[in-house]
Amino acid sequence: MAPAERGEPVEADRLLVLVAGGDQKAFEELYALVSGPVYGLVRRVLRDPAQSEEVAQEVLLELWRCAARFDPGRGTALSWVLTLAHRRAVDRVRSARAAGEREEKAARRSEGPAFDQVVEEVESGLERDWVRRCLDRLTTLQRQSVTLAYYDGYTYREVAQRLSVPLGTVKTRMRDGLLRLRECLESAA
Amino acid sequence: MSLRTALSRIRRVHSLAVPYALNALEPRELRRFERHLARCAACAAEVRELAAGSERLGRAAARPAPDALRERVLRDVRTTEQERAAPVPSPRTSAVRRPLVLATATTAALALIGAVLLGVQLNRTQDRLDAERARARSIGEVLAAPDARTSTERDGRGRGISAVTAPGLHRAVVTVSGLGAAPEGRVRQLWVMADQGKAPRSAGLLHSEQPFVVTGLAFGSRAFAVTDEPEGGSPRPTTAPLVQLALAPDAFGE
Repeated sequence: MAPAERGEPVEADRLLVLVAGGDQKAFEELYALVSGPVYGLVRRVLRDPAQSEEVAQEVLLELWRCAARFDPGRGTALSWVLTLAHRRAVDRVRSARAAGEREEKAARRSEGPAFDQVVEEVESGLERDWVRRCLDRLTTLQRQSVTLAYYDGYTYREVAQRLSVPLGTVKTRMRDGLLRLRECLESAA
Repeated sequence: MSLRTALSRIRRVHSLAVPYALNALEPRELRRFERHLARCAACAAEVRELAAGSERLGRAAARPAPDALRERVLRDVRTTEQERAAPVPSPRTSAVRRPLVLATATTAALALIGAVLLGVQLNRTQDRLDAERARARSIGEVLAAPDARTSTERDGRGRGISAVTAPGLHRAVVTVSGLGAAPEGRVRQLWVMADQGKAPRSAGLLHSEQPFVVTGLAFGSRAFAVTDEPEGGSPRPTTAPLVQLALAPDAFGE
């Protein structure tokens, strides 16, 4: 990982504390650091650019409104921000699915060997390259379990259904997948 | 319930840590797991370890946000008030709990409620009213918590700090008194002091001497302190505490 990237989470932590105190200038600096990760993740889950922009806007505003809820004892600012973004994006994609809007498209997507599509779509970039390489090292079932849940917003019950495996197996594969991913990325750093 | 059923039930809840780290639980299971998580240190450790993996997936998806988004967000920020209170609990729980509050509250607690209600009367615009209500509700929950405890510290110059702590909710209500207004260009900042060697955490800025809700109190929270800081607050305390209050050693320990 580039040294600059390593510095960012710490900087984001400092800025978030100032933002919690109502500092708008600090928010502008924080925006520069986190808007890319927020927008990118939301877009990965939702795919639709217009909807992604809308949800990213909600998330970034929530960051301003609820900055005081950030607890540095529980993790970095960036991980907190990504959790907020992921929750919002997943809520949106799930309610859209429930409304049936995406049902047809999703069904069509699942016909082909499209589970790994996400991995293919990942663009260049140091972090991305490593994540892709590390995802490639997982077993197919581990990779599919993790990416269907995280990048496609399916619940683990839905993932089990789509992969036709028992719930317990999906949880085990997700767990092994996440731990191996982390291990692989740490050895890359 | 037999011991065996009980154990297998606990194991089942534990195993939800995995989908939780991927945000892949259904709402009902999510609530169930989060209730469990609040009491389970082992689960918290596992979630943290697994979430490090999903965080990397999230970071890998980064791409530049459209310029128009920046304009819209910064415009909204200028006109949006920040939340100071804890997450708003559901109105139904608080409706059930309120009579309990009045029945069990100490005199100090009643004084807190009075101060909040007075605050509500004084701030009549709708937004403020909503925010005050949320705050009052959050305070009510802390006071009604079965493990709630009150402690107070006062110095010879009449400066005081008191807290009602509710470890189960990871929350506390802190009130300061006798500090007077902050000097021009300065603010009062509240800190949560942790075990030795760990940095103090900012709990927020105190704009008045009204009760202040502190959320996310972790195990190992040892004391509250208030310092005088430059406008906007500081990431770490830069002056000596004006008042401080040590918590009982077991208040936020296991």
